[in-house]
Amino acid sequence: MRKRRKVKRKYYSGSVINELIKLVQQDKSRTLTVTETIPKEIYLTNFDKITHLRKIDEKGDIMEVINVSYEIKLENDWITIVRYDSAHGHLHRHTLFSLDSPDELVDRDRVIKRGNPELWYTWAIEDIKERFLEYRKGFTKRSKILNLGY
Amino acid sequence: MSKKQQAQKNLNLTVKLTNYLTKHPELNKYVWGASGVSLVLFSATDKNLNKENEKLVEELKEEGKKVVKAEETKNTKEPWKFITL
Repeated sequence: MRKRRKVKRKYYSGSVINELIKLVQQDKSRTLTVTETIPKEIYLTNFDKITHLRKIDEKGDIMEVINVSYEIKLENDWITIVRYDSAHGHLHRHTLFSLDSPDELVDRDRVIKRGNPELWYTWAIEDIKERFLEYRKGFTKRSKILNLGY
Repeated sequence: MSKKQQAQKNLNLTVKLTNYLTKHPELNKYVWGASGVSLVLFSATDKNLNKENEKLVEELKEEGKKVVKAEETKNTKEPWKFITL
């Protein structure tokens, strides 16, 4: 029996495909590749970090925000308590409810509505800068953890 | 320095760095490389923060992480310097 080769498929969201079509229409000689970057971490303390993952084109421009997340370390486990992505063509937030409940609240409340992936990416990091304590307080309170988990 | 202060100060630096990198997208591949790295930021002026972050680097290296130091400089033409450890 002939063995079937496994095909690794790549899926891009509609917004990325639309952006690629626009770029090809602007310059037909241009070769386009989209790179899905490996998640990158920026450590804030040994108990806090930001992880981000983006789709970038060959010039390094951001095509899609796959993930910008704020993670906290609790008892040797890193937990993503809030994350942003632009999977449906707009930026939205996922907030983890608590340690006991894996449910996420998905919303766009106080989230930037306009702009492009580049702006959304910097906005998400700016938002974590402004509100990381609020996110940490909310999560630790709902999880009944004292001292913000620090 | 408390963890809260360290996180806040590092977030301020993170915003500065990401704003710089989005204006210079060609640098992204050099900073982040092809494989996953852990970035720790260093301030051009805050010695206390740098001392804490140096400890953080050591801990990450002990965990076997590939660490890149991003040092803020006082040079406006080259505001960031990157050192792979």
